[in-house]
Amino acid sequence: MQSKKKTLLRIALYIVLAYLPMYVLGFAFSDKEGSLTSALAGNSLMLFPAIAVIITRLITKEGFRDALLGTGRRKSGKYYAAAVIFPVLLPLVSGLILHLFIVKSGSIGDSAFCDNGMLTTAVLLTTPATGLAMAAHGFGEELGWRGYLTPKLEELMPTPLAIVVTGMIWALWHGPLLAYGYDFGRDYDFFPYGGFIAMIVMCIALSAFLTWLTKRTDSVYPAALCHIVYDMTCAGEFTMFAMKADGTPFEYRVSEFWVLILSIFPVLIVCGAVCIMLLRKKRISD
Amino acid sequence: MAGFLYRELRLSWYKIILFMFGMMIYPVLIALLMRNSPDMKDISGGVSALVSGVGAVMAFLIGGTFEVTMFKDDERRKWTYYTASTPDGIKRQIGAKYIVTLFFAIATVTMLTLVNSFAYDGNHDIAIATSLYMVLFYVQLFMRSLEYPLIVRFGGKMGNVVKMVPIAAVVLGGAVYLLFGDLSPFADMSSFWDRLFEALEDSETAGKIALGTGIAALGITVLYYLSYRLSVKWYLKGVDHYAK
Repeated sequence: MQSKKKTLLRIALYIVLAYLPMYVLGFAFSDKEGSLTSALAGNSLMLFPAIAVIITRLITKEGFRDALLGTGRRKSGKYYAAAVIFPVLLPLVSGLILHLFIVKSGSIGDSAFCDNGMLTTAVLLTTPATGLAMAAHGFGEELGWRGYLTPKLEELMPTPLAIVVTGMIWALWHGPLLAYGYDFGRDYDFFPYGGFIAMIVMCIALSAFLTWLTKRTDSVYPAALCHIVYDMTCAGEFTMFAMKADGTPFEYRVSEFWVLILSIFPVLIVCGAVCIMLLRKKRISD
Repeated sequence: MAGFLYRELRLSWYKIILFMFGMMIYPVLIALLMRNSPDMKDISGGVSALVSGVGAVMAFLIGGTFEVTMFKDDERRKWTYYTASTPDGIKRQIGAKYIVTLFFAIATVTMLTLVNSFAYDGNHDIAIATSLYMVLFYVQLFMRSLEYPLIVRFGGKMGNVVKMVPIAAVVLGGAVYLLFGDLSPFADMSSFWDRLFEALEDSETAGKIALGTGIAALGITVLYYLSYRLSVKWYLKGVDHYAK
């Protein structure tokens, strides 16, 4: 009982420390369009969960023994590869779904992705390369969510539930940005609540995959790499499917909000569900 | 691996902090200058990226000194034989150094990005130079990929001499080109940068550069791994060159 109370207190302290700078900077520098007016604030936001973990561990005197800072178990290479390949492949499948079901007129051949082979290859190569160079930003978040919060929640509940709760807390951490239209825009009927719900669903699915990577390797680095490459490919690669070669957007059957939901989410959710099942199976076999 | 990583950080923490401060002096000064000064009206767009690039090159050069020093610090025969006697000791010892180098380079890019953002907040005319930092990050890894196996194989002093051979060859090649090559692109230096930035604005040229960067980045990542494997292979061969 004492141990559970201690864990709850540690979780609460971490959440307060991670949320505080995000909410202060998020509202103070908001451009009311889902982004920030300060580039410095925008570029440092992803580092705050890691800073929160460091402060929490120092205050609670937990130390860093279980912080998953090693490079992982033997033969972890395939999981590092998966961490890069999954976010690069995801927009390709999402692009196919987009053009099969959502684009009203025009074919995938007209998209910027298929029009210029050289540019497409450049984007496919430079995205993971930039991801590696910018990996500290992914690490900043993953050290907090997957390296601290999920393991702490697992002390209180089963792994799948811990993944869901982590996903929700992680999604709501983006609150000040979502409230003004971050990621999903403002052009939908139930703004901004739809954006919050969509972000929660996306974060739960991603949380499952990132937790799977972390648990398989006993390290936060694959999740960090995957996180930052995912952020970049969604912005770069998927946009190339959504645009024509001349830079104008395709005509869709639904609003832009639903374009993102219907094209990206199916793959994410399937992947997240598979990861939760794999993690449950592993726990049962243990 | 975690143990060796911990050892590296435990032994070098003060150097890491000092070098982090040292290498950020130039970029921070440049950022302060570009952020506020009314005299900086002409420094915008591509020119500002170049100015930021100078600070970034300095940061990577100073950071590179730390990375090489970290390797040379362990040039002791007793330590080498002890490491080799532990299970997978050589792989872990060398791996930890390659990983610390990678982390240090990543940290450099992050800090440069933050400093650049700080400058941008004060002056929206200057460019966000993240792509440039990414290029420098891979140049850094490329240099270390060539340097580390030589340091491992020949020891710090001799390794540096061996490293100078290809550098001297490149300098010599450059000198020969300057003497006999086509210098027409550099004929009018006053408009050289304008022409360069104009060329970069052309989407096809930008695409070609992006493709080249992507291929180079992929190649350097593979080279970095191969360099690690080579260093592991050569580790015990370099012992004879150690002074202690």
